[in-house]
Order: sequence, then structure tokens, then C-alpha cells
Amino acid sequence: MNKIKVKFIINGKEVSLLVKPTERLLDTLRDRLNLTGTKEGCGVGECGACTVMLDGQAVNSCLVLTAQVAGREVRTVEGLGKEDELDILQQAFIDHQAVQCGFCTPGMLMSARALLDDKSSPTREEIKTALDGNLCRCTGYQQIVEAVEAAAEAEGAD
Amino acid sequence: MTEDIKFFQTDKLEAALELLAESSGVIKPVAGGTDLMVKIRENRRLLQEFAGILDITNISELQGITEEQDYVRIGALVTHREIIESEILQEKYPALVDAARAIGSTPIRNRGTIGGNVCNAAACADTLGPLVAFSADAVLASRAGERVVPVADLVEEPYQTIIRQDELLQYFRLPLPAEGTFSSFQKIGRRQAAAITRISLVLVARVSQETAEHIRIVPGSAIPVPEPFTALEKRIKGQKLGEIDLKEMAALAGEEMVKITGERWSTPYKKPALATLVRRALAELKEVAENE
Repeated sequence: MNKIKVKFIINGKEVSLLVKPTERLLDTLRDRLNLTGTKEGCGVGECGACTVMLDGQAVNSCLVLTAQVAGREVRTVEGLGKEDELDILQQAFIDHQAVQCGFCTPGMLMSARALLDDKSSPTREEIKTALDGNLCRCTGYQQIVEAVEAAAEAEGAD
Repeated sequence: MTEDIKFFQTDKLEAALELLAESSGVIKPVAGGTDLMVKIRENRRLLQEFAGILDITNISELQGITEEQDYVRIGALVTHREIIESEILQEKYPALVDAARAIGSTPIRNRGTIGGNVCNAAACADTLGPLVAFSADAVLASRAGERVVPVADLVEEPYQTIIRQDELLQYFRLPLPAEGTFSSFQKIGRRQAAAITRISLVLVARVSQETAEHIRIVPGSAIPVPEPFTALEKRIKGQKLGEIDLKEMAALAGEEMVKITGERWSTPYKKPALATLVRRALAELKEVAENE
């Protein structure tokens, strides 16, 4: 088996790994780096449970080859907030009951984080577009959109 | 199962072309991976067809959107997001921007590329129709040199293009649209987000004195490979737009579709759906002509 040496930044720290040519970023994160916050749902880029940030943009980690992220920066839900402090978005999700079963939450958070890092005061329509790749079968989305709106406002007030 | 394939990565176009030319087995180029990764998951045996995977995402000659003397150049690696955010494309080719906006979801649009959309060549590829309607050329690079092919001639059948194993799609050339060119992209999917196009339509027209001097109407998903509805175009061209019977034109589009595909199980749905898109696009065009 051919292995490739890949060096990239994960949640602010550099890692160096030997990976298979067809290894998915999702599997590298979960199985090798023990970052199990990122979930696998459909595995074909339709549900968004595996969403992470790649160089600041939301991507489906099930569709990215780990070998392709050499030299790039990956951020997962574990990279949100600080050791003892939740990210504003995470707190807003709690405050607005935007979490029910929780399976979609890490992906939702990463899509929302990518949006807020790019646009500090997004419109409701922009929030919906940013989350259009994330399925939630519990909440009905309303609370999630409200949570992102509240987080954007709180972040703007900071 | 052995998956003894190799992974190649380079930021040099020449090195990539060298590799493609020299390899005895199939080297599969990968960019955003939004189609390829799904195909591999659905059929892992697909990997046995490849000797290697070549990551082309770092090749600068395949990137960027620039305005040249008489055309706009869109690199094969330009993502759908970059298309949506490009001021040049918003101004000159709005139907292409709207098509890119209709693709997948935000994470898919962040990764998926226009080159990948075209090379994958699905019947539902949203950017193919606009590229054909805007008379775009594809520039294919190989060690033997450059080959320029109209996008309209690129796809032989769904998922099959004429691009050779030793070639890379480098960029698209879109002729600068003449003053007063109008374009519209219409789509029906099962829902708003992350929906594969069931049927779509691109209309590009140049209107002068309330008459369509030039018109291109290209359906998507309704037929196997994108080709213009020439009979419909002929009927509209040169006519006063105010005098066009929308219903008649919509029916004509349906007939043209059936001529290409034959009567199929989906025809009773696709005919009226396509008719609606034709009516919508022409109504928009009429409005533009009236406000001229």
C-alpha cells in the first residue's frame, strides 16, 4: 500500500501523518486524531454532519481526501471556543434550544462559524444559505437560524 | 481488495501533463472531489480502473477568473463559490452565476469546480447549459499542445467527454457578450437546497428594438447532452417579442425535447415542466425588451 506523508494544521496545531491515497479527511479526523465531534451521516455530501472548515470555508469532510489537505488548515468543532469557554455560537445554540438529538450540531456549528468569520452581520437569507448543506431532522431549523442570528449580534457587540 | 493506487500532487502544469502522458494506466485528476468521492463510495471497484489519483488543486494555470481582450477566462479550478462571488461574471454572464448558485449546497459550492462539473458531464450538470449558451470554448492542455473545443462538442454522452487521458481541461473562454445581452437560468429541483436538477433552461438573447437579434435556448437535464433548441430559436429570432405567443413557444420546446429523447416514462412530467421554464424565461425577456 502506498502511503503519503501529509502535514497540515488541525485546530491550530500542526500534525504529520502517513495516509492512504484514498483516505477521507473524515476518517483521519475521527479514527486517527480522535476528533469524534465530527460525525458521519450520509457519506456522500448531502447531510452536512461531517462539515469542517478548510482554510476558513465549510466543506464536507467525507468528500475530501486527506492527502489533499497538505499545507492547509482544518478546523473542527473541537477547535471552537476555549478550554473552559464555549464559542458564542455554541452558547447561542444552547440558549435557543437549537440542539435536540445533537447529531447535526457539530456540522451546523462549523457551517455557521465559517459564515460569521466571513460576514459579521449576515441576513436571515444568508444564514439559511450557509446552512443549506446541513440537515436536521429534529428542530425544524427555526431555532438554529435564530441561534446563529443571536450569535452574530452578540459577536458584533463584542 | 487491494487499492494499490498512487497519489500524485503537483503545482506545475507541465509536471501534471508529463505524468498524464507517460503513465501506462489511467491517472484520474481530482479537484474538489464532490463527484469523484461519491462515485468511489458507491463503487470501490472503480479504484481498480485507476493507476493513480492526481491532485490538481494547486496548479495556478488552472485557477482564476480574468477578463482578456475579447473573452473572459475561467480556470477549470474555479469553484462554484468563486463564480457566484465574481463581479465580472455577475455583470456579463448572470445565467452562469445563477446556475452555480443552484448547485448543491454551500460546502459543495465551496469545493466543487466548474471544470469538474463539465468533465463529470452529468446530464444534470448545471454549468454546462450556460457555457454552451454563451458559446464558450474549452481549452485542453496536453504535452502535445493546446486543443480548443467548443463546450457544445465536449460531451459525447452523459458522463463521457472527448477529453483524452493525456489532456487536462485548463480553462474556458467565454466570448464577451455584446451590449444589451440578456441571460436567464431557470431550474426545477425537488427542493431548494442540495437538489439535483430535474430540468433546467438557459436563455441568452440580444434584444434590439424589441426584437431578439440573437437567441440561444439550451435545456439541462431534459436531454442527455446540452444542445440548443434550434427550431425554437429560429421561430423567435427576428420576431417582435411582444407578438410572441408564449404558449406556442412552450409547446414547441416540448416537441423539440421529444424529438431528441423520444417518448419516455418521464415525458408527461417533463413536457409541461419544460414548457413552464420556457414561458418563464421568455416572459422575463419580454419584460426586458419592454423596459428597454
